[in-house]
Amino acid sequence: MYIVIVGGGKVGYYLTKTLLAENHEVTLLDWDYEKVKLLKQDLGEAVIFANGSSIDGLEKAGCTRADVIVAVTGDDEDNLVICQLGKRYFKVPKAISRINNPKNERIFKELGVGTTISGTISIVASIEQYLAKQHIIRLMSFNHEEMVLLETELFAGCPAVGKKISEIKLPNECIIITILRGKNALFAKGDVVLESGDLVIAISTQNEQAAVKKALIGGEPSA
Amino acid sequence: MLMKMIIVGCGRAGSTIAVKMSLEGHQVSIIDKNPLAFDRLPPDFAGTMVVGTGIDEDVLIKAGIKETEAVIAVTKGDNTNIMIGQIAEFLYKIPRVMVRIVDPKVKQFYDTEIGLPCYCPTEINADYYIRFLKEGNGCIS
Repeated sequence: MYIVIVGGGKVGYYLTKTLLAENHEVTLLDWDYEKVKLLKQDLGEAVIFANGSSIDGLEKAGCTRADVIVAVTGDDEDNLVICQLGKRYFKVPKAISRINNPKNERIFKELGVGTTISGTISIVASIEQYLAKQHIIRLMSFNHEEMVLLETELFAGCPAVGKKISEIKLPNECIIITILRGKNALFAKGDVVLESGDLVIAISTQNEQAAVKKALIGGEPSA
Repeated sequence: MLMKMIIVGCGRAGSTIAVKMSLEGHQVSIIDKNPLAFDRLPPDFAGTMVVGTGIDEDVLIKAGIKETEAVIAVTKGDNTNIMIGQIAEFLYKIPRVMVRIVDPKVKQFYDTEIGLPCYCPTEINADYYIRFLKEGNGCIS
C-alpha cells in the first residue's frame, strides 16, 4: 500500500519505520526543516519537507495515488485539516487521525473524520482494565462487618493460576467456597487447579482481605 | 439589532472587531490563548475575555457558544480557524460564522467542498493591489 504520513514526531517516525520494514511504500511529511534533515538520515527518501495541511504539500507527497493518509501531528486542528483535505480533496480512500485531546474524538467524527486514534484514550483504557483486574470485590459483610464475602476474577499472571487450591498460601482466617468456571460452580476441594478467568468466591475476616488479594491475584497487600 | 458574538483571536483584526462591536452595544466574548493579547483592548472594554484555545469545546462553551448568534475565527492559524468554524457552523449551527483562511487554495476547498463560510485576506489583498496597478486606484473602502 502507499501510505502518506503527516507529522515527523515520535509517532510519525516510528510509524514510518515500522511500515517501511513491512514493505509498504511510505512518504513522511514534516514542515520543520531541521527535523526533516534528521529524519532523512535514518529514513532517507521517504521523508519530504512539505506542509501537510496545504494542498501543494499533499500533492508533492503524491496524495492523489495514496491508499491511506495518516495525520499524527501534535495539533488536533492540523490533523483535522490534513484528513479532510486527504479524504475530500485528494479522494484518499482511508484517512486516520491521531487525537491529542480525547474530547475531540466526537468533534472529528461529526466532521467526517471517523477513524481516530487517541493515545490518551488507549492508555486510560488499558490502565482502567488493569485496575479493574486488580480489583477484589466485596460481595457482602456480616458478623458486624468482621467477616467479608469476596469475589475476584483470576487472570493470566496471577500467582494462584495453575496452582491447586491446597497449594495456595491463604491466610488462616480465609476459606475459598467455590470457583465459578464458565457455567459451572466447582466445589473448592484442595485438588482443584485454578485457571485464568475463574471467579473465586471466598470468605475471610476483614483484616485478612489484603492478604487474600495478595495470595490470589498478587500485588502488595495494601487495600 | 444587538447580537451576542464570539471572536476567537485577539490580534489586530480580532481586537478591532471586538472593540467596534462592543461600542455599538453588542455583547462580545473574545478568546485568546495568550492573556497578553488582551492588552490590545482598551481598559474600559465592556466585553468578556476568555483565556484558552478556541479549538477546545470547553473554552467555547465558557465563551457562550450555546447562546451566541455569531462566531468569527481570526487567529493566526488557518487550521485553528477552520476547526473552530466547523464546530460553530456544523455542530452548534450558529447563524453567522465567518473564518479567516490565509491559504487561497485551502479557502477554495473549504468554501466549495465543505461549505464553511470563509474569506481569504490574501485574495482580497491581491485584488486590491491588482486593481491599484491597473487603475492607479486601489482604494476599495
